[in-house]
Amino acid sequence: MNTTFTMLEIRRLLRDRAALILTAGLPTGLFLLYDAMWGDDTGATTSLMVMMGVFAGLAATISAGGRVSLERHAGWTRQLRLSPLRPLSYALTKSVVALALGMLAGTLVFAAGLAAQGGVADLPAMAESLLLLWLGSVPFALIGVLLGQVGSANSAQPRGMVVLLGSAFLGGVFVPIDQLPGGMEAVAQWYPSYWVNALAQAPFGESVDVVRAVLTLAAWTLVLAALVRWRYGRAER
Amino acid sequence: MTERPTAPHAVRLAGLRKSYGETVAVDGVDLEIAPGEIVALLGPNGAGKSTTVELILGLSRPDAGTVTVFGRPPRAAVDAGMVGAMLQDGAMLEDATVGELVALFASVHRHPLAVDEVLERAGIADLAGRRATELSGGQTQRVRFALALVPDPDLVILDEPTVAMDVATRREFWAAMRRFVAAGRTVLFATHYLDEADGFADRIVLLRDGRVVADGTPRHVKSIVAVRTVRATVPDLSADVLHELFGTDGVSVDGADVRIRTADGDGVLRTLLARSPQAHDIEVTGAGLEEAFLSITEGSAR
Repeated sequence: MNTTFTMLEIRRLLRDRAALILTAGLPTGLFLLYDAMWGDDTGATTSLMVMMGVFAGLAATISAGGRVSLERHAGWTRQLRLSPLRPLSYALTKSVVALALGMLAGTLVFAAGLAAQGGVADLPAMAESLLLLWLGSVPFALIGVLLGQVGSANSAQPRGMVVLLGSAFLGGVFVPIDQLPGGMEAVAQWYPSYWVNALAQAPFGESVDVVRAVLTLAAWTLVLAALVRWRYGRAER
Repeated sequence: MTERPTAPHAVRLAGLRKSYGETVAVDGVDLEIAPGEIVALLGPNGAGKSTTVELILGLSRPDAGTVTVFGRPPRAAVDAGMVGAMLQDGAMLEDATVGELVALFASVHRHPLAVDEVLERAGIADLAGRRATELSGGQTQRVRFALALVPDPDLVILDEPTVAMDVATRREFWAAMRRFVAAGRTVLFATHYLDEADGFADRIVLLRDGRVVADGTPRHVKSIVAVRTVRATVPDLSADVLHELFGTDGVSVDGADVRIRTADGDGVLRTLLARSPQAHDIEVTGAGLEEAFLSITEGSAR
């Protein structure tokens, strides 16, 4: 990890206003919309807030892949290979920066959630939820970086979109998982976004199988990290 | 760059081969470059210049043969900051400034030059705050050059460095290079301009179809490459007589229209005028590099 590189990446991210508004602003807007439609003081508001917070985290981290892909095809990664910077530390930096954007986007949704709840907000629970949501986004940052390393730049956006929407559905972000067709939940429980949502809902009183949640997320993180290592290690040759 | 151990060769290529699918890009290149030499890799498009450069930089691996840079494997030399390179297609980040890019490269090298100094040396101090999207082609090339200077390298490798530059910028670029090499650095640059190779290098290596076809001083190589084409309408000499006079290499006869490619334009002209009183519409032109290469390889193939 190189501080100058990381800071430059974060500055570049903040310069891309359009992408920033889409990844951070859209989930916040959706939350405000849903909250106006279904929000109440029995927990629907916090539940919607967490769902959109998870969506924000997914969108921010997975979209990092599009940028990796563009930089690869524009020849920037080639230029970087003329320096001692290793492809693997490039991938690591991209993941960390994606997580920073995820944090920003999730925080924005939670800030809107705080405003919507007013005085009744449970601040410690919100902080805990946000942290869990953020930690749970780690495998998705790796998915984003991997997506950027394969295929063409043109297909990077649609591929990212498919993965994002798939992850969002399996995570119960748009439709609560128990309202999806039977069997879907059984499938979703093998996928990390389901557990990101479940873990982030827990501080507000939902029950969650913590052991399975942690195991699933850890397993995905390890496998994806190994894939990133393999893929970017290959690029060094 | 003073304390580094010296290797006998800045660059040493032995039996280098590289193919992409069916295409053989580099076909058995042996080359030794001593420290302090300024070498031009000259050849037409597709001669294997860029592939050779990539192999020297460790951007791709040879199918066979070895590459060493100051006695080390290419990646080790790049990591040690001994090599700076400027690629044709090394893109800039569009949403970062020139200063940020140079600072980034400085941060990953172990013993970088100061950012201001790099900008100054590359002649882009006034562009530090510009985004890459706001640069002209020539300015972008100078930013690439700046990135190559960052590690204060002993060897600079440039792949078609002046390709997007206008004449004035090109002159300025080579002036900057001259200042840079005054300290005894080694330079290897690929180009398809003979005058550029002639003007800046003290050794020219001619590449064609992935092979070295000539290697020597600019004077030597120019004598090979400086080819003339003599065109004339010659109604009074048969094709057989023409081939007898001028050989078959580079001589084409189409009815009365004759085209002779030669390194000795004056000689051909004298002979032609002496033997053919009716020759008219005579035209002597300097050949492009492509044409010159054609004559070299036609000659060496027989």
